Amino acid sequence: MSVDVRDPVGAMFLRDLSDPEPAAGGLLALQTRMTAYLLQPDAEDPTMVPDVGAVAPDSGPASGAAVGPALARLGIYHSAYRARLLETLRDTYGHTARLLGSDVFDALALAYIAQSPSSHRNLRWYGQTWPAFLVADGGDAEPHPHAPIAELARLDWALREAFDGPDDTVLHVRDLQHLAPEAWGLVRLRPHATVRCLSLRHNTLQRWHALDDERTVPDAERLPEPGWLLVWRRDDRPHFRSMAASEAWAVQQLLEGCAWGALCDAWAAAWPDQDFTLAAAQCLRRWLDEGVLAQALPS
Amino acid sequence: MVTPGVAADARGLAQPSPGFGLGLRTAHYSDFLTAPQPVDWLEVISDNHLVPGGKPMHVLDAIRTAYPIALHGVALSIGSVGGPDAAYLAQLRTLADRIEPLWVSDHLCWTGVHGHHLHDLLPLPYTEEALGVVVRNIGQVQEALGRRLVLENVSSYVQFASSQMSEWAFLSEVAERADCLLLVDVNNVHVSSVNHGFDALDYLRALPAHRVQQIHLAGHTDHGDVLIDTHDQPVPDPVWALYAQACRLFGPVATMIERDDRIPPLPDLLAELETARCVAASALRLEALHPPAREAA
Repeated sequence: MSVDVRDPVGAMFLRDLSDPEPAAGGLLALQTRMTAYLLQPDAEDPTMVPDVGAVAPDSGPASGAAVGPALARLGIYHSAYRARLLETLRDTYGHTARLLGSDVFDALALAYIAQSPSSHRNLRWYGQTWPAFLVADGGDAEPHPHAPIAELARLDWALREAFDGPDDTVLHVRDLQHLAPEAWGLVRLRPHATVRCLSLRHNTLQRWHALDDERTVPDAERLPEPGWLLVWRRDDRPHFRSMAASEAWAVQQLLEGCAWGALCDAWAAAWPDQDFTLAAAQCLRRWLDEGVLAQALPS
Repeated sequence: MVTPGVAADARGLAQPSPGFGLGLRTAHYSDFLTAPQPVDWLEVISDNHLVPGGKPMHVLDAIRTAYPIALHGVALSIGSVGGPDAAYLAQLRTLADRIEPLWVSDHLCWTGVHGHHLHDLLPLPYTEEALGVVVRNIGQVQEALGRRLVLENVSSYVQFASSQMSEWAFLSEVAERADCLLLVDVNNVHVSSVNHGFDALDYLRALPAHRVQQIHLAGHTDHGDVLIDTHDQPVPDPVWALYAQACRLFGPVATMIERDDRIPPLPDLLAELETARCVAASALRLEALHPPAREAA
């Protein structure tokens, strides 16, 4: 039931008669109803807020016709919710937005927002499932229409995670110089807390760099073999670079806590055509130079 | 509850004013990191720094070495029936222990229910029930943080028919019952006064001056039949006029420009802050010469 009421200064009200007694849980009922209104797709649809009424400051007695102005005022909150989430997605997924263009990106983002209400107190964490949404949005079509975009979006998210991920120590060459030869077999080289491995199925890296350089972005193409990216933070800035499959495998072993000796043994088995001693030493040197490792744990 | 470590100034419970400050925004990080700036203190959005690590934390640590900092939150949801979130309070306490802020503030509002977060400062109905909820929640927050909370008034576009008192009566009662402090956003008072048709001065006169810790100055957007609190414009004349009245009513209070969007170059905001200094000085001189008649308590 809807009733419009004017207060002493003739302002606008949202009348709640489903819970006429404030002491009887009126606040929670009001907040529940207003939340439902704000999350519904159509700001003009009064269904979810049946008790909204409004009186403009200079209008006459309350009437059903005054619902419009009340919805217009409520609509400010309705729009603001979507605008904030949309701005967050544009910021977090900057390369994805630039590749798609604002019209296409915003349409997809608003569909995502409608499907994925924020469950995060901090906007920083909103949008983690956006890449999965893009994949799902494409359905089962082959080739998948959004798979290359979703891959780009995953890189956007990974870099955002690296940006404000946990602080950590950085392992240097000098930290390993005192390590006794017999200790190398059991030592665990812990990656920096922001290190992530991403797999690629498309020419995403090429497209990313084209966006950065403001060159024409090549069409998406499927890679003949999966590619790999290493993502981490160094000197307060997110970094990424491509990796060979063997290095990606080794980083994943480190992330799982594998000891260096066991990793080298497994390397020889997994990549029999490589000189694992040389390959492992080259990777180790590069990781140390790039700040990819955080700590050497004795065993 | 009693809050340790907070010295009262001559006006009452609030700390002495540290002067005139700005809301720290990422666009101005390098300005503050590369050269001293003529501000007495800075306010940061605490939620932007409730992250595991990285640049947001390192910049904050660096700037903290040169400026006193107030923490200002947007996600406490002090009006939630379910009470403040314990994990969020623990994060906020950790940040406060790290930064040692001048004070910690948030808004008189609610931001979601049933696990949904609406990322807005939504108005409350001004009822006895809501009053009880907010006072209870502030008690829990102050206990968790070990300090008085500074509570800010929000702009609003709707009011609720179930309200039993004015916003200013509600806010004053909250402050007294919960023994908290107040952040008076003068722009928000002006915006709501236009949107709801009340006298902004009535609002300010009703507030307990001895609990006013801080003042926000900002701009808004005029949509004809409604003012929207965008904080993306310079402080307009009506807000300056109301600020002058606030200075006369509250005395010297920590004041800052709060710009949230369309962030201009730092010198523009410093010029606005200089205006604030002049308006405050002029109003306080006037107050000393001609104290306004106060209504009896």
